Amino acid sequence: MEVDDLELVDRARAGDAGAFGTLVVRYQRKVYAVALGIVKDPDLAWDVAQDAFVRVHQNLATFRSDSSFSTWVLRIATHISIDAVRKERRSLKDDVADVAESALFDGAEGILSTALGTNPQETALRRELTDRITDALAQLPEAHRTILVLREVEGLSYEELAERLGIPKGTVMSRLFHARKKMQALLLRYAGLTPRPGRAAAEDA
Amino acid sequence: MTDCATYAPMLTARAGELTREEESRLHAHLAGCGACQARLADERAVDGMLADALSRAAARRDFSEFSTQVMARLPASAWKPDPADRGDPGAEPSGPLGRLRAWARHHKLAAALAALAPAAAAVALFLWLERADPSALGGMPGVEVSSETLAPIVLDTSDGPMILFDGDGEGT
Amino acid sequence: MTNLWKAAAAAGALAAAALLATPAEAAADPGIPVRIRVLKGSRQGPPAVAPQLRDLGAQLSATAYVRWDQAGEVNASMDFKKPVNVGLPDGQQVVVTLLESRKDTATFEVQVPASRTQSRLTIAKDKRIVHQVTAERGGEAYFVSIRPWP
Repeated sequence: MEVDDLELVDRARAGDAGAFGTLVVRYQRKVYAVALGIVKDPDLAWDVAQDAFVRVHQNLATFRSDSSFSTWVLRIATHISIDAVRKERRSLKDDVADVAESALFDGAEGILSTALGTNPQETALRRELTDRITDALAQLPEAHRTILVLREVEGLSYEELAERLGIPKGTVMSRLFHARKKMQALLLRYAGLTPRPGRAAAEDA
Repeated sequence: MTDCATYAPMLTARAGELTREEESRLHAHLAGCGACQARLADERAVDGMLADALSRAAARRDFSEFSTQVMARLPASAWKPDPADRGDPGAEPSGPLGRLRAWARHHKLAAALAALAPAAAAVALFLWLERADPSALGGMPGVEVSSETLAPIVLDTSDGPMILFDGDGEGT
Repeated sequence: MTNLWKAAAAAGALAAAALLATPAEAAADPGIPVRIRVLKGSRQGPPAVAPQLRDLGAQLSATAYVRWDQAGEVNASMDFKKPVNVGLPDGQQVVVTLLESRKDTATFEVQVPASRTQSRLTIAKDKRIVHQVTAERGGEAYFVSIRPWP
């Protein structure tokens, strides 16, 4: 992009409508993608994304140019998204620092990677699962959806996640583990693959 | 608690997120654990799939009205006169429409502008005028218009270019 | 959704089952989908934009025409350099040709033989062209709107 974000922010602060409009167009889809992951419903995600930009505009004066506009708008979008689904929030029974043993020894490990290998037939599976993965995400509880979206779409580190969500790093890691596990179990189900309980590992090459 | 319970959650750590101690213990565990090797392979196999899927969902959606709707929710008073607007001393009070007005005075577009002001102000369109000049393709969007019988006016709006014709058909 | 793979025996090999037929990626397609609409703008009548034209509202409101109706539509999969004729209600023709497309942009040529008008416009994926194609008569004029990848 020709003009950088911080310059557009400065211009928008000075009252330049076009500069602000350019920022909106530049980030609208990314903001929508984050919102969609958390709130699930596309129309709600649209509204949340709009709210995020309105909020950005309201707070233009407080934005510090030593941080990135992209991080800022996504943080606002996350906050509004979580708020929008707050009624859904409930405490996670497996949200502890330790990973449940049952999540480990279900015999599912290695099946997905084998199925998704590298030959062309397996690419069709990848496309199929990519189409379905948002369905899988939608079936997870809010806290799991949120941490996955923040990690995968916004790209936050463990430290940033800990700070953003107000939880210790150990909880970040175990929550992510459980979220991924559930997601992968759903993907296996969509793909018609079944784990073999009791199987220790895929021993063969 | 098994070792896997400790190390499996570390498999998706990125560079710098584990301490050196954790990293070396993880490597040691992996060397002897087929299950965790398989888990790591699974994670790599689906790496990026979620981000990809959400980006595609966003790409499929029609965003043409999005910024207009956002701008419509912001107060028109937030926007100041166009700072880049220079012009003759007798120029109209500026604003996104300022240059349009100044140019149009010379081109008999006054009637068109009367309709512009209230609608566009509410929507705060990003609007500027370009003459029908050849522009380079490939970088910024380009517009070239030529006509033997009509006088083209090019408007570039935040939704895309518009080609209008000045004047009416009667009397050409 | 079709059934895909079934897990095989302990050896870990997977048996293939019916595979989903996947559509060709857009990059490999020779042409692109384009939506072309014929619009009538009028100075008279109560200000109104036909419901199906609301997505063009921001652009249409930047004109002196207060009333907008749709007078035709062509949805075409346009191949490069193959002209598409769009007929206007008064019998005139407008010729739209796709000249080029890149990842995020498309270049169109719009010709109006009756007025010997020719335009070449490059637009980004998200945008629409709104192009007047007749001179105003009796307070009315015709336009075409062009949208790639609608």
